[in-house]
Amino acid sequence: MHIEEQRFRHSPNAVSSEVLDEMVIYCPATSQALSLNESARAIWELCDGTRSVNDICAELARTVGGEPADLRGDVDAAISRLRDLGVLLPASS
Amino acid sequence: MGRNDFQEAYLCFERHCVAIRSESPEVFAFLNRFAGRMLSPERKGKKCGSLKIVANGEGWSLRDGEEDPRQVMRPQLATRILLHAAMKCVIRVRQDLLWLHAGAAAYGGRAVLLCAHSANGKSSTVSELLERGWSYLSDEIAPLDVIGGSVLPFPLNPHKRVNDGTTLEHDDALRLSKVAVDLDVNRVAAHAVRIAHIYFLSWAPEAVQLEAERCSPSRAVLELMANSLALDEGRRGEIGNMCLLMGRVPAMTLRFADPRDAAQHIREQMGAAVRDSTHALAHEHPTVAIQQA
Repeated sequence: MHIEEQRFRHSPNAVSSEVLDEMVIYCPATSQALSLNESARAIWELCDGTRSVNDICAELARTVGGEPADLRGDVDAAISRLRDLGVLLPASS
Repeated sequence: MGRNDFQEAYLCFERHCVAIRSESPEVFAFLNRFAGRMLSPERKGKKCGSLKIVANGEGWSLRDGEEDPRQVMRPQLATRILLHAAMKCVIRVRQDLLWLHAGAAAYGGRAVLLCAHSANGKSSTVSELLERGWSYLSDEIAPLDVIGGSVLPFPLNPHKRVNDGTTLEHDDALRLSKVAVDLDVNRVAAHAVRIAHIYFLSWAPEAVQLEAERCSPSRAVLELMANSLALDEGRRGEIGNMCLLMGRVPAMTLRFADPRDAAQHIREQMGAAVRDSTHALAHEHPTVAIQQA
């Protein structure tokens, strides 16, 4: 499967908490945490296991304006960080 | 040695206390030096732990409940380990509070929380604020009531690192010895104080001037987590509490070479906050002003 067709879901172990427009995600397994700004938080929330990376880019483009392709780098980077933290998993796993 | 040879004192926090037993007056002399304001010869409140220190020819050994004793050679280090063990007992029974490695001081009924890793100016900044007439809450351990948005007094005796004027690299500061800070007993806060600002301190000897930067709420939560004293089982719950707190209290990072600059900045910010609240009060309650007139 091409990377743009991949789908991701939240790890059941992830602890997330809102703080104003931002969010903090904590992974108990690694004792690491990440702060998400408004954009990163939107990407996290769109990773619901049903949307592909392409879908997420398109959804964000509708919300914030611009072309989906222009958002691809930011989406990939955010997903990569969240996967490294262990709080985002491939939907198929 | 018989049971009656042991003396007992209690480290007290709010409605709990930890019993500390030793047969050595030297142990209590050391404890008094670090935690005199929190020690009582009588039990106050519910006992939540029991610690025993035995002094022998090889040094001191600490027994925590039924655990095997830990051998510690130097009394000063043993005292700190003892205090940390006592603190863990208190944290275990007060998981409703957020426990941070932080200093806290108050002025005009509002408190600032100063978070930093060791040797980053926490105690020195608290000391500078005390010299400017502020009240003392803590210079190392700060228990926070998140619902009330306040910090409770945890008045271990304040100490700060002293430098003889030698130019230091950052890592050198950890090797500086600590000295007690003179503290007027009337300047120790007796009750919880509402938190007005949270500062994350960074001592940087190379800094030319103080650098103050607004800290985003989510980043502030990460900083709080890095300074948390929570036991592992309390980790999950504390994140929600930290987010709740940081949604209400502004946070800044301060980078400085001289703690006097940090204290001056904090004082100015607090002055502005007090002025703003007075102004807001006047507008929120105009009828009170009319009646008084």
